[in-house]
This record gives sequence, structure tokens and C-alpha cells, in this order.
Amino acid sequence: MTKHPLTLSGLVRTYGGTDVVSDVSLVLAPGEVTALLGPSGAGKSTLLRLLAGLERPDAGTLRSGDTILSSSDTMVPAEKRRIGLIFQDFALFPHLTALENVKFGLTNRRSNEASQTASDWLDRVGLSKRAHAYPHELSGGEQQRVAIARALAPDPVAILMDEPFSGLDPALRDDVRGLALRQIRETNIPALLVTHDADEAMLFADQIAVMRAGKIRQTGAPDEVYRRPNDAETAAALGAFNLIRGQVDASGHVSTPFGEITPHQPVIGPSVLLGVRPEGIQLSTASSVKATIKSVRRQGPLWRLIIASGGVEATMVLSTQTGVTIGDTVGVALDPDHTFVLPPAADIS
Amino acid sequence: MTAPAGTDFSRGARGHLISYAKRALSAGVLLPLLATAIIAAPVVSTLWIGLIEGGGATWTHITQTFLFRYVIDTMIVLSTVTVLSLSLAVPAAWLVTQYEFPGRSVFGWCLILPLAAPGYVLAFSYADLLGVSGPIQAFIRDMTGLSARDYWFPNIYSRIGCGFVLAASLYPYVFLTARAAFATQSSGLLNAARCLGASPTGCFWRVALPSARPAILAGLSLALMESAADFGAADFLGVQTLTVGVFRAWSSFADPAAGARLSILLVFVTGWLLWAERHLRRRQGFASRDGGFATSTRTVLPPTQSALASLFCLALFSIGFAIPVAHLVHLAIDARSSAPPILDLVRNTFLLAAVGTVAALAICLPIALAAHRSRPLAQWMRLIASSGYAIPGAVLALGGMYALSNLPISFSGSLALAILVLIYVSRFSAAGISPVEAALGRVPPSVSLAARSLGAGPFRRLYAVELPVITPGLAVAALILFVEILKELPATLMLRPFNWDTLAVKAYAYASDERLEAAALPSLMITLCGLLPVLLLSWRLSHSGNPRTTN
Repeated sequence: MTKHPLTLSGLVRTYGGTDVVSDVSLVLAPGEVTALLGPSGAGKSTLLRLLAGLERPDAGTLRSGDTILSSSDTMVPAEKRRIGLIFQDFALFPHLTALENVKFGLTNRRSNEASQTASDWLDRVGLSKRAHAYPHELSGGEQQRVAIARALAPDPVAILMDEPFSGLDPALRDDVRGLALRQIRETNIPALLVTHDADEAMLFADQIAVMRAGKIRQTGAPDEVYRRPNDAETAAALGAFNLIRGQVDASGHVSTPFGEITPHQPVIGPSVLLGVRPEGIQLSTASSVKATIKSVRRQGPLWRLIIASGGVEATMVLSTQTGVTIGDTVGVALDPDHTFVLPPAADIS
Repeated sequence: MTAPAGTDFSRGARGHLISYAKRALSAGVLLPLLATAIIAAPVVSTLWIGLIEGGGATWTHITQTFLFRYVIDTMIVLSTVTVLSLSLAVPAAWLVTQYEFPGRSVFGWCLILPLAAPGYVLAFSYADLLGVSGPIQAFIRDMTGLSARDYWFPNIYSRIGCGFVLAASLYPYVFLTARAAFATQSSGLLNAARCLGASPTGCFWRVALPSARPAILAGLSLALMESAADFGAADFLGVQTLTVGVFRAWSSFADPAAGARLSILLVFVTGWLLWAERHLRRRQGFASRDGGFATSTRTVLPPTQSALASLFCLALFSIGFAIPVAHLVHLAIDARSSAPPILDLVRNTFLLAAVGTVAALAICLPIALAAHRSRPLAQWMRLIASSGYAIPGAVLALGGMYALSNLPISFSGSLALAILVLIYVSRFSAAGISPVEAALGRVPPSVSLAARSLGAGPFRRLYAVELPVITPGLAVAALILFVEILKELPATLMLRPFNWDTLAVKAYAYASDERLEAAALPSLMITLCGLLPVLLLSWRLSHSGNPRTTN
């Protein structure tokens, strides 16, 4: 059966005069995971409720393939949409066993067939042994796996996940997350993962939509959004970066205290603000641009250095600390792949 | 469903309006609204009648002769209840939570038992026990050789006596809230006070009591509200409280409208007490998050103090429950050969309580569900429902009486019974809503949303998810409602058809005729039924760890 994309065009949701969701357009492709990334209060959960049919948009259209799910004159109720939901608090029915929970959505099949499908799904999430346990008897990770099976078992047209892994402890999270996303990809339906964890979004999503103050600020593949953010806030949402001012010469080169680059996009004006990811500053013995090392600290698998040049400080990362000592002067260069031009508005920061 | 090309604008706009109206008036909103209206009807109609029609000659007569007495008596009764229940229940709660002494765990639950017996039952028992011809005064006369006129003995037929009886039956409200507050106070708080040099007594006065004050006052408000609404005890003991006045306006002056006007004053008092209780409880909300009674370590008292603590709790239990109930048992056994038949009473009582319970549950359910599904107006519906609880049964019954007496047809018994059931629903639904809501509260709203996303419509959500989840809550609600209705006196007394007596009505009638030995058996049966929800409550409190917590 062919799976359809979920298409959002111009969705608006207003509470008391303010747009909580403001003109959101997005295409969720089948078989792909789209991460909706943003801080709390950005409107992520409201957007998810609009898609699920738990709230009615004030304007805009939502389609699954060619079927209109909501528009100005149509509102398919949540229970008719066949859109699966996975919640942060799992939301398992406390009075039903794991198997009965998974079976709950399988109403259009004969009972024994439904039981078979439900137990197949429990098997797929590795819980066939816990089929007859009640939610309160299951661990957090097991509960979430039941919730995943329950959402996927009725063969939904799309799946929405509202911070589904943040309730799990970190050791468990990777397992459950990997399992969930594998199952979702296999079903080949569009999936939306609401999260405020940039690492999670980049690691698991095919597409990232950055949301802030009700608007989608940027949409793209994780690498693209990470390396080519539209503005400083989007850049910060994906990870740390250095804000460095550079001087533009006649040929479009930009020179900064940490090296010269030709940006990936043409720049104008006497000066420009650059965003440089920590890995965008590299040690270079050949470089004539020198910086002084101020601090060297381990940060997980990498070493994090603070360097100074021309009265400006910047952060960079290295995989080894060999040959790096505080107080040394080293040659540095910028990597254009990890450097981006910021719009003038970022001047205020 | 897309509109065909060429559809004119007005049709689209009308479709919009209709779909909006359909959503606004869907069953999920309409049913709870209807339920709220049923609860509010007797309240509103009584107050309305009081305002519009209550100003006749009777009203003038009442204000000129009785009103001052009603207000003074009510104030004295409420003051007595305040002083007695605070000075008895708060120390008992402190002892039970902080110290270890013989019988402590037993007192923890049996100090709640007085809630089982309505105030009028205690009044009957104490009146016989402490009266001139009662066993205690007879014993004094035998011992001293004095005659009844030669010595002073506290008169139970007085305002203080009425306050004593009501305090004896209602102090558990204060005990419960005080105990919960003391038990959930962090032991760190008290330890800090100890380290700063406070003695155990100092800890109580300077730390424990002030921080438990909102909870204690919340319990007191509830006890006072019930005291102000009490009819049976006050009337039997000859105390003329406002509630008795409301009843008299109907029974003596045959002017329910004047009674209704008088009840506006009473409703002002009880409504304020209910508001105070809600307000104080909300303030307490954050302080006692963890609930439960897992107090750290209790201090073991030295023998003398330990004996005093046991004695204090034993005395409290005896006054509130053991002595009056034992005396009733004694009376009932004495009168067993001459006891009037009781089977009809039991049948009538249970029938009425069962019908009332089912009706009240049918009203509770949509309101609790609406609140749970956070429908618009749900908070207001709950508020209105709880207003019925604040209004004494005598007041609610006046609206019914007025309606019946103004009907062009002479009303039949079944119509009066139907109105009585309506009054029960109005008065007690609030008591049924809370357990249902508590049961629903165990399920986060996302569970209902999950059911929707799995294709379950409102009906399937109700029977496949919400009803099974709230079944235990419904059972508790049914038990509470059943017993509350069974204990109800004034409304039943006013509205029951001729010759259709219940246990409460007959007990009151026998007692009023000074046939206390005949009143003993029905009173005991009411108390026995009342024990069921009280024991359940006490069991739940001591097992308050929720077995279905996640993680």
C-alpha cells in the first residue's frame, strides 16, 4: 500500500489574540522522520495537537496525500484520522494489559486476528514475554515500547511523537529510541518527532524543522541546518558556535582574528558577522594567523580549547591534546564548511 | 466534503455557524450543563422564592420576634463546636502522629468513627444518658441522697449542650485534616526547630501548629458548615438555630416563602464556610504533596505520659462514639420486646437511598467527566454542584414544598418522592463528584487522547477506557451517597408522603415523643450503615500508597 506524505499548509492557531502556531507549512515525507526542534513555548505541542485533530486550526489546510484532514470547512475528528500518537508520559490504559493496550486500536479486525497482530507487534518491540503484564508492572522503557507498538499496530497514516524519550533515563533512551525509529522507518509512514534535544534531532531525523515563537524558521536536512543556519537563534538551537566579526575586502574575502575565508555566499559591507562552529577553527602550523591558548578542558570524547587573538576569544575542539599547552601561541585557520554568514540583525547580540 | 464550485458565500457561512453550534452543543457539553441545572434548580428556586415572595406577614413576625434568637443560638452553637473540636481533635492528631503509646494505631482509625453517627443520633443518646431520669443523674442521687433540685448538673437541652453533641460527632473532620497536616510536615522542619533549641512543646506551638493551621481551619470549616446545617440535634435539644427557624417557618407558620427568605441568611453562613474550606485547602495544596502517613520516627513516651495520651484518646473516642452508641445498644436491648416493627422503615429507607444514589451518580458522572476532559465551563459546573452541598437540606426542601403547595393538582406521594430524590441529588452530588474525579485523576488526559488517536469515538472512550478506570471511584461515590441520603433528616421529614417513614424520620419522631427506647434501634441501624464509608475512608487513609504508580 502506498504511503502518503502529510502536508501542512499555512496552519494557524490563535489563543486570545496571539498566534501560537503562525503560518506553518511543512511536508512530512513517507518513511522519513522530521524532527520539530524548538524551545518550550515555541508552539511545538500545539502544532502536534493540530495535526492529531485534538484542536482545530484557525486557518490553513492539513492533508494526508489528497485527503483533507482539516481546512476551513472540514475537520476530520481525531478518532477518524488514523494518526498514531506517542506521548511523553506513555498514556497506557491502566486497566488493560500490554497486549490489550496494543489491541485497543485494532477494532476493524476479527478478535483473534487483532490479538495475533497485537502479539506480533509486542514481539517486534521485544515484549512478547510481558504481554499479560499491566502498565504499573512494566518498567518505564517497557511502557514506552508498548506505547510504540500500540500506536503503530493499527497501521496509521502518520505517527506523531511528543518528546517521547525525555521521560526515560539516558541509559535506556538510546535503546528505546533506536528501536522506535527503526520500527517507524519500516512502516514507511511520515513521522514527526517533537523534541528540544538538538542531538536527538540530528541523530535520528531525516529533516529538521526549527520552530520558534510559533513559526518554522528553517527546514532542511540535519547537516544543512547545522552548517548553514539562517540566523543566530537557529544556529544556537543546533549547537554552540562562535560569533566573530570579520572585515570584508573588495574581492569578497573576509578576514577575522582567526583567519581568512571566502564565505559560501556573497557578502557586502565593510564588516560582517560570522558564525563559526567550534570544529570550524583548526590548528594550522602553516598559518600566519596566531592565537594564544587560554584553557584546555576535556569535554566528553573531545578537548575543548579557548583561544584568543586580537582581543577576541573563541572556542574550538580537538580530538587530542598532544602538543597543546596553555599559554602557547599556535597557528589557526577557519574551515569554510563550518562557518556561516549571519544576517545583520545578529549585531544586537 | 469540499464545497462544489460556485457555492455562494452565505451558505458557507451558515455551514460554519451550524458546525460551530453543533460543537458548542455537543453531548459532551450539553449533558453536564443539564446535570448542573438539575443540581442548581432547588437552590435557585428556594433563594428566588425567598427574595420575591418571602416578605409577607410571617416574615415581619419572624424578624420582630425570633430572628435575634436564631442568630444568637446559631453563634453560640458554632462557637461551642469550634472550641471543643479544636481543643480535642488537634491534640489527639498531634499525639497520634508524633508519639508512640499503647493503642496509638487503633486510635488512628477509631477516632474517625464518630462520623458514622449523625448528630441527631448522638443527641438522642446523650439526652437520655444525661437527662434527669438518665442513669448518670440517678446514680448521683443514689450516692448522695439528694433530690433532683438540690444539685447542679449540666443541661444537655441547651445551646452549649447542642454544641457539645455536634462537636462530639463532627470533631473527626478537624482530626483528619490536622493529622494529615502533621503527618506530612517534613520531619526536617521539626528537626530544624529542635536543633534551634525548641522543646517538643515549643515545636508544637511554634512550628507544627502554625504550619498546619490552614488544614486545621479547613477541617473546622467543614465541621461548622455541618453544624450550621444541622436540624435534628438542635431541634430535639430545643435550640433555635437558623436551620430550626427555617423548618419552623414551614411547620409552625405554614409559610415556606418566609422560611426561604430566612434561609438566605443561613446560606450566607454555610456558603462562606464552604468557601473558606476550599480556599484554605488550596493554600495547603502544595505543602502536603506526598500525602500518606509515612512519618519518620515517633517518640516513645515515658509510662506516665504514655498512659495519659492513651487515656486522652480513649476519652475522645468514648465521648464521640463508644458511650452514646453503647447506650443506644443498651436502650434497644431493653426495649426489644416492645419495639415497634422496623421492616417497613428499612425497606423505605433503602429504596429511597438506592434511587437517590443512582440519580445522583447519573448527575455526577457527566460533570466529573466534563471537568476531566477540561470542557469549557466545567469549573463553574463543579462550583455550582458544590453549592448544593453547602445548603442545608431544610432549605432545599422549602423550594420543593413551595412548588408542591402551589401546584393546581393535589400532589400524589410519588411526585413528592420524586422531588425528594431531586433534593438529595442537589444536596449530595458534590460528595459523589470528588471520588469519581479522584479516580479519573489517576489517568492523565493523554490516555483519553491516545484512545482518540486509536480511533475510539466518545462512546467507546467512555465504556472502554473511562468507565473501567473509574469503577472503583464510582463504587466509593455510591457508598458515600447512599449513606448520606440514608442519614438525611430535615428534607425527608418535610417532603416524605404521609405514612412513608424512613429510619431517620421515625427515629426523630419517636425521640420527639420522648420514646427514646423506640428511637434506639433505627438510630443504631443508621449508625451501622454510616460505619461502612467511614471504615472505608479510614482504610484508604492508612493504605494511601497508590498501588498503580508508574515507574
